[in-house]
Amino acid sequence: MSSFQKRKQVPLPPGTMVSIQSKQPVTSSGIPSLDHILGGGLNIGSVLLVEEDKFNVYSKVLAKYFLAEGIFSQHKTLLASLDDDPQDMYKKVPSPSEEQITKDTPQNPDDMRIAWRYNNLPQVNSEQNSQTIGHNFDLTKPIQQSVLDEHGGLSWDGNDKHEQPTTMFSNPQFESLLHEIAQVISQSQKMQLSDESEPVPCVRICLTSFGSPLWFDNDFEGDFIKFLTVLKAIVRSMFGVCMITAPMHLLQLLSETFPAQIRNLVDYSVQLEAFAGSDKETNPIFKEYHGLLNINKISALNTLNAFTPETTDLAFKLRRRKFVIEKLHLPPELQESEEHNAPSLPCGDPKKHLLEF
Amino acid sequence: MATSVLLACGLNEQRLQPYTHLSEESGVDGGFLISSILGQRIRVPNAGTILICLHQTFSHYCSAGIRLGYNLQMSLGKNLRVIDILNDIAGDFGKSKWTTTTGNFLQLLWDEIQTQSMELFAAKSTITVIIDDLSVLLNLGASPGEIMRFANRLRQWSEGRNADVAIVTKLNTCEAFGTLMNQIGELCDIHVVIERLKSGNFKEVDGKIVVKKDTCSGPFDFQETEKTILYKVLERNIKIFNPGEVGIKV
Repeated sequence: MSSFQKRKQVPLPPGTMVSIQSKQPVTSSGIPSLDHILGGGLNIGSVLLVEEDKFNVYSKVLAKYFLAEGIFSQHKTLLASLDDDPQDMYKKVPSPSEEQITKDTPQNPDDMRIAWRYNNLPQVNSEQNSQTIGHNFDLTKPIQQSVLDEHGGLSWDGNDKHEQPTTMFSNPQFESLLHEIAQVISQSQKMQLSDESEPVPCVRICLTSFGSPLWFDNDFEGDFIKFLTVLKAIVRSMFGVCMITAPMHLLQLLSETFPAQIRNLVDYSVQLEAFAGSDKETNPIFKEYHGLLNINKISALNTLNAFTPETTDLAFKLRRRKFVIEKLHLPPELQESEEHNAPSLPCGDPKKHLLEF
Repeated sequence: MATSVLLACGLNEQRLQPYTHLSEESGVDGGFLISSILGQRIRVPNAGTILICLHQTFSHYCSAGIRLGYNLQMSLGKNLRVIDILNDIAGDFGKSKWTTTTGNFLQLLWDEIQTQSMELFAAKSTITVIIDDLSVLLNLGASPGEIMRFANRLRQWSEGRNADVAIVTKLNTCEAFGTLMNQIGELCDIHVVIERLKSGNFKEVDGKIVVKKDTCSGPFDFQETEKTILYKVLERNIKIFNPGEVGIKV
């Protein structure tokens, strides 16, 4: 009798897949174009930091997408916020769009008869699409109460004080939140232990407006950094992902190096630079967009090199039905400007010596 | 795989210098250097390694090592000992000794290193202690002064053992802890600074490595050599270039 045994393939939970780029399990952020930019999705065990726009409009939309993806993929979801009511936010989570439901139906072969080769080419619209995990959500369709009751996530609003005295932090809210997160993870592990044939349930943790003035205390900076260090350790060991939205424009006022320290403790960092209230709002170059999306960090997790996106010139716009991230295209220059006619030096840029390569 | 970058940094030796320090600027990832050093150390015969995981868990170093052609799991328990602090914290953060003993955990870490090194010295003649990274100790509540004293203690230990012990430390976001970086830079024999390109992003180069080596021959001789190289981390290897070399197509 042979001693060889066929290796049992551990099934992945719904809403996760092995990434082609990193060869690691990933899950969707809820926005397919963001997944594409980050290398196919969020690596399991990673922390995504969304640096909020000044009026905290678009970062909330991203958080809603993240939660919606968790609910519709049947992940164990926890939403924590001191600024917003988590239950209210759950009610505003979008549902999958009609186009998502009909996505799997085969396309009509008569779509393009003459220029049939163009069927295989990507659309002219440069919006990225990497749809193997995740849903397309419609922002005009809020989640049904029945779905929320069945798969609804857990919430933390700071009112449930932990009974034990805090030893790690000056602000007891930090420790209370960590205990809540640890509880959610232990519950999901128990679910897996009860039925070993079932895959490990994926956990999604979403902290919105984390580090807002409501979190401030005597030793806020120390507490905040310590919390992120412990959170990173916890997230690394669990099968899940964490999204944090933080008002970095406020946090950088505390210390110049504080944002760099925060980014060191997360795996992905994207900044939403909204045009509202800035000079760029009236700039005709940006009239098609609502803001710029800056990628500050993509770390190499369980691999040697980090994923490099095709371009870092990205912009976003909030349409009625969806949030779209696109390559930044400048409008065509139709009028001749003085700059265009200015004589240029024949032998390159005089500032070229400043380049390091 | 990673030999070229180690050669360029002077780290591809059978016996490493007593103290090597890696300073990583924000915006770049210097984790590849730790993986490269680890791969080199576990291949050296009769040498043991102690890895202190603070920035990543041990599974990360294993996966990254496989890309570079070595398997850390095979060495674990033989010539490799791991102190996975991040994993310990994740287990039960409320009761973990690394989070509850404020300030004193550096002594705990020292004791842990000593215990592991005693066991390794029973079978190995040299030991390398790799700490990735020191900024997490600051995050957990240690002051820069305490970290400096800890680094000094490690250095003295290395010198006391006639360079049988080599220390490798890494400090992330070093610009946030400028004084500490400079002080450890003075203490160490090789100071490797991993910097981002100041002129912007470039697809063919990830960043810049500045290697500062102390070459003083006597107590009154203060000489330091400095070398700059550019690097690109690929899926399974690391490419290095001299400044000006990139972009030359013959």
